[in-house]
Amino acid sequence: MWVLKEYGTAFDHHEGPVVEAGMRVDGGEPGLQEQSFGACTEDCLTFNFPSTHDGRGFSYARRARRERGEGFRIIATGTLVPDQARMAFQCGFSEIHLSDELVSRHGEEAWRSATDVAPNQLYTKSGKAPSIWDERHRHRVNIQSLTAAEAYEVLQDTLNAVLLDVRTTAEWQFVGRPAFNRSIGIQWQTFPYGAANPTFLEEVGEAGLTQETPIFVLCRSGVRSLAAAEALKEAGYKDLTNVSDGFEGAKNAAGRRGMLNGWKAANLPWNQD
Amino acid sequence: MYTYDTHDQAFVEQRAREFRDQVERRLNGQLSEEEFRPLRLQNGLYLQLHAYMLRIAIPYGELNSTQLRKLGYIAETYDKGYGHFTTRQNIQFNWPKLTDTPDILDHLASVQMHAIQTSGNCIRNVTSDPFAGVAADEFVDPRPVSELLRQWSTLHPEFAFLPRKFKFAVTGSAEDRAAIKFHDIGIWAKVDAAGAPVFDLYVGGGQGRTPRVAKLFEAAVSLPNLLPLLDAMLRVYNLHGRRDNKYKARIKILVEELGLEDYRDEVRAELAGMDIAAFQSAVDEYARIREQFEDSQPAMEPTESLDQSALPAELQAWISQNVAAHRVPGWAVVQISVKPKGGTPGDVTGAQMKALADLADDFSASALRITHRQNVVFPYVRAAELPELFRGLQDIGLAEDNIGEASDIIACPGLDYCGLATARSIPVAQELSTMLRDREAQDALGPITLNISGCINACGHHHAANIGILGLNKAEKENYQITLGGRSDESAAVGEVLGPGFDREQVPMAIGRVLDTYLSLRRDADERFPDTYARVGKAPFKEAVYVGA
Repeated sequence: MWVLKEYGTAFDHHEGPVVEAGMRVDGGEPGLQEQSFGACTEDCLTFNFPSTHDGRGFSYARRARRERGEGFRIIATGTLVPDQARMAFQCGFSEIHLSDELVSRHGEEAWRSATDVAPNQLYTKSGKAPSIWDERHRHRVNIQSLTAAEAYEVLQDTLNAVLLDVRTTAEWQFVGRPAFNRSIGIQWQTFPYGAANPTFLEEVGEAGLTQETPIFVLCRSGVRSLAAAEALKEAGYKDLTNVSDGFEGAKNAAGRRGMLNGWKAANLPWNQD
Repeated sequence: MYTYDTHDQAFVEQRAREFRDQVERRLNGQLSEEEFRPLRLQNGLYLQLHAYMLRIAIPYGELNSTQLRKLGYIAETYDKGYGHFTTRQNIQFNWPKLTDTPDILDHLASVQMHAIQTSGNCIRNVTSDPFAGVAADEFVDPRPVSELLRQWSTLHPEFAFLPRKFKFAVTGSAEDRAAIKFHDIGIWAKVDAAGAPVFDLYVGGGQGRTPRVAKLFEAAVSLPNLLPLLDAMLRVYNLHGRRDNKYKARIKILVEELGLEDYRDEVRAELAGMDIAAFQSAVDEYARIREQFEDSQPAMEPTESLDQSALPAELQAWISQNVAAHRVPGWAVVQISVKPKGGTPGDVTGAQMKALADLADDFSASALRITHRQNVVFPYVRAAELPELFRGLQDIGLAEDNIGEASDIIACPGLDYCGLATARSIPVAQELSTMLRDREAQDALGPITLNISGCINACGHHHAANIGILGLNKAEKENYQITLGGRSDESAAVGEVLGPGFDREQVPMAIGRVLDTYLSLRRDADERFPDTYARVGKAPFKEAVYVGA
């Protein structure tokens, strides 16, 4: 038999047929009763996949991993295809035991590279790869966050700091803009359809901001500015602050902005073209 | 609309590469057809009667002009020049070559599209209200939670080999235009007293050979609890759903056999053991997605509405039939009928797609929607520009003024294309649309739904129609059964079988008699078909169709 270890870290041939280890759960018969794996005394668990189409083993593994914690051996066996190796590891299996026949038909290479071909990073946390959501929202922790009132105070005291207003031309014109002498406007999304501004980073460079410049990013209510700050961070800018409540702030109970929080509601200076 | 960031883009590109690798392994024999089948299905690729069929996801029915232009290009380059809008807001191409499909997926990835999970026993493309974000009766825009579900369910490692397919629908309005109660899980988004989104979950709805209206599973689920709860609901289904009989494998059967209470208990027990904190990033993600939808809505200032009195009669008729109420005064939600008299419901040529894309650029901020009734919606139209848009639609043959009428027929591809079908749907739809189009004006039927399925799997949603037609095969002959009284809105009901089926030639006669009976029995012109049917029952219809005339 062959043994494929987590995310292809090892793939080895062992003499003899597939041996089932520990407590064996066979997904073969319909209507299998609910099982808990917390109390089982064996040192490992084996889940059999009776066919490629039967995905019960994935849910069992998820439950078993949750109940037994990291480090416990959870083995998949039976009929799997290489494309299911990713799913197996993401659901909590630590090993897949394969018959020689399965490996020779699909080819050693297909099994060896099974987890490289598939998208390993999913949106939600599944297994050990970092999730897209966690990554998206971890970036934010590293970018400072200040309210408009706090930001204005720091901006006044930090003489090389710049207020970067990433709203649209229409918002500058119709809603107004901060009256602050070290402020510049570069759209993150363009008016009227909200398409991403493809030259955002270029324009920031052209405006003379360096990677060391303290940049305070502002939008309507702190969301676009965070996305812009993330892009700046990825481009190497080091001193970034997101103005968390933006120019207009959140909606109040009546659904209106500009009353609850934000630059305008904090009575900071602003004007209209 | 939702715009991909670098993560989303890298994801679909890698998925396209994975599929290219799977096709190569199939072609050189490493994968058997049996093994390849679920893999290709999870990328929307079916083997049909004559060729492969590729179904492309249009998440919650929303797309932009660039994407539609690309679909037009695919129709002309890899298909026979047309595509087919489906009853799940997707588009399918009926003639691609297996070896071309990896290239098609690369084209799709280049415009932020994919065919992921449009088939197979996994979580399918999420459907929603085609008027999302602009409906006058909306509580919450259903698109952010739909997009959240798309991301959560995409390549979900645990739920790719469920007992059977799994469909979500989401609405956020008073009127249910997404037929949520005919889905495995239907989500009705509302707001709580503090203005936060909450979700009513319905479970166990569906059509097919065992049509069921979904039952309320839990009301007012908060956003932080939503994904953990769905995760637990799916896990219990994955472990306990029947796998011995594919006709009993949908969650509706599990809920029925266990009973709603026992199913709920199982789910709660599962939930109790789960780590809810692992889903915390979903809340941040929802906020990010929602803001994207808000920011990408075009600025719509209330303006004067259009004075229709001086307009030509045909334009007035089109506006009154095809234009729906917009939440901003002076703006219009335009429904474009893809149901020409005698045509194939939902079929659009590549040239029409490109022309529609141009019109969307000119009149609807480049945005379009596909509806589950196989039509197209322009959500952001200035009422003042309706006359010009109408002329543009006339030029490409898409100015039919029959939205919501009897000739606005839903039909599956049927035996002309589909390997599962037992009878043809398209010729029946064509014949009926010709007959009904002639009757509509003189009879003043008003809104009524007529849906046709070519087999018991009910892709044409016949159970959910006021008048449903189901094509069967009896003694090697096409036979059509009629159901009456179904509806897919918030008062969802399954239609009742009228009686013995008909030969194809008799169907128009039978439908004509059903409509005549309705016209003679309805209380007034405002009483809709299912209400009349509920009041008078099956008997008078049965008599008129089988005995009468």
